[in-house]
Amino acid sequence: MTALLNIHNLHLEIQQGTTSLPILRGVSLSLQPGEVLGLVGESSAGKTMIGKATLGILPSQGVITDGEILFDGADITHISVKARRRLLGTDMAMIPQDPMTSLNPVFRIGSQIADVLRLHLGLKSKEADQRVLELLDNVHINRPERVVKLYPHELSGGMRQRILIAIAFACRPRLIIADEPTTALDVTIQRQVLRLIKELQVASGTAILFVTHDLGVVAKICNRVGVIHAGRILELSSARDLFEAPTHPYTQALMAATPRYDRPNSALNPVPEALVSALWDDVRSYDRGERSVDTGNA
Amino acid sequence: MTDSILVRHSPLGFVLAASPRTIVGLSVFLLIVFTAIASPWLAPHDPLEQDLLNSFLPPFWVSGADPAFLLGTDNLGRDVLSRLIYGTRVALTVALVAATLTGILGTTVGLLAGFYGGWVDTLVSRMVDIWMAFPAVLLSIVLVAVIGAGLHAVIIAIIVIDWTRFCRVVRAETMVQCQQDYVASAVTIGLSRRRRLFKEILPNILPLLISLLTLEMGIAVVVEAILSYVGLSVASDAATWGGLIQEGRLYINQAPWLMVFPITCIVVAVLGFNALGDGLRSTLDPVLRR
Ligand SMILES: Nc1ncnc2c1ncn2[C@@H]1O[C@H](COP(=O)(O)OP(=O)(O)OP(=O)(O)O)[C@@H](O)[C@H]1O
Ligand SMILES: [Mg+2]
Repeated sequence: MTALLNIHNLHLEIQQGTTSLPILRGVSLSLQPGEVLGLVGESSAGKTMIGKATLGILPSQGVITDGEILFDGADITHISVKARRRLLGTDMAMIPQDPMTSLNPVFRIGSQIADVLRLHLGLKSKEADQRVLELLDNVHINRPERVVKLYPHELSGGMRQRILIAIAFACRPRLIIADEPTTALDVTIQRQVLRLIKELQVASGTAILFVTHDLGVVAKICNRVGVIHAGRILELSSARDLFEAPTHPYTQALMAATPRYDRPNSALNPVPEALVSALWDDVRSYDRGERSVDTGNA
Repeated sequence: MTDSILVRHSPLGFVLAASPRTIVGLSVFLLIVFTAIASPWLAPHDPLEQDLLNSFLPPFWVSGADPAFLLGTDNLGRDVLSRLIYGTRVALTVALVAATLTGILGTTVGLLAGFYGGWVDTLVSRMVDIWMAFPAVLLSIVLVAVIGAGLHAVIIAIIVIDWTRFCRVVRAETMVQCQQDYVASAVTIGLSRRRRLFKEILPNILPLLISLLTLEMGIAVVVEAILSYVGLSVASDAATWGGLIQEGRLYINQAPWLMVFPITCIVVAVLGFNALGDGLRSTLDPVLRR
């Protein structure tokens, strides 16, 4: 079976003027159709950048310097804006991090969802409106016929995230990038939204690249997990293996650092400093190696 | 997405939600519109009709007034009230046409500059800088002198000079909107650039545009008055507020009302437009920013 998404040796730099800052250092991963792959790692490890590179929405300074991204076997690393637009919304979609600001404030909920359906599926207004109600029902929104008439500011964060999830799943994409879709929500709502994503994912068979820094979330919905640090994937294994027998010391340290409900009084275990500096030494020597390879080629 | 938040207010709901300021501004605006349309019925006399036997009649509250000429007559015995009433036509035409066209030009350029950034933005910003360095009144007089006097020249002058007012504000607001997450989401659902700009961002700056537009209407009235005053607007015997001021200036000692009435009209109209603009902004904004 060919992988749905195949990222191979991806190098990405932030280039500003003459300086360039490496962000991704040879990331490789693949996603099978219908699979949920978690990406965990500390802040600024480059998780969001992997998602943005896949969707082709990198900031203008973000440049892919090496490697490739294959979607369904086709190279989409550097495709045209037009070709990209044909993918977005239909084959690939995104669940954004902040539901409070990700909906257009001046349009009713119903018309924002219907717009996507009309644009990508070519539905007529009537059919689209009907389909909107079904989609809202799928994301467990009560009285959808009332909600379609509301504006975003009239809904709670949890409701808005459900709307955005409905939009992401609206055109049955094969891949969804979910970039910390629950961090902006409070804990009880987080759990409901996670369950909802999992439920829709199972029902539709959509593959999800799930970015988070919450190992608990990973355990709940991911098939496989990649642990990422400073733009390198340190360990990529099935969720079960990762939790039962983490091989990389950084993963082990992350596990140990996660507070446990079942042991409320145990001390917090931050990732040991020695380990962090060893990792960074590694990164630096990797960067030096890259550079020397460059000069070797020149 | 025609289903914008602006449409949501029914006329009645809008009035109920409006501030006193909006209501005052709106009343002045509607009064001007009504007067302009109904001039022939409202005006007791033909504004051009001369009656030299009845020149310099004072307004009704001064002794010696003729009740047939409520606000008195000018040096040629023309009825001041009728001339003021017909003057609203010119004022309103200039206000509406010039403000709308200025708004369209400035908004388009500002949207493009704010959305595309880069060299487009640099080019537009430098042009705005250069524009702002010219003294506006002087530039308008020169322009009209070059194009030739007339209402169309006044309107062109206003557009050429004032597009920067819209451009600057719209550019800045477009940049702010572009940073919003909803625009990023619009990218990920596959909307084209043009669609994002006109169907997602533009509706969000519409309330701002409406208030800018009403402010610009006030400015247009003043500019028209200035150009009439220096004799560069419509034909000099036609009734315009600026023209009335200019004619009255010669008889300021003898008949001060000839200047007082048109100045009052201009002040009320401009204050009305400004009140409407300010009021609309505060009425529309809380809904958006909540
Ligand atoms: N627009 C940008 N311009 C410059 N640098 C950027 C930009 N966006 C991200 N970066 C840098 O890229 C690196 C990776 O960022 P990224 O957002 O991918 O991290 P992350 O793993 O998603 O972190 P978080 O958990 O905080 O979301 C960071 O060092 C960040 O400073
Ligand atoms: Mg991130």
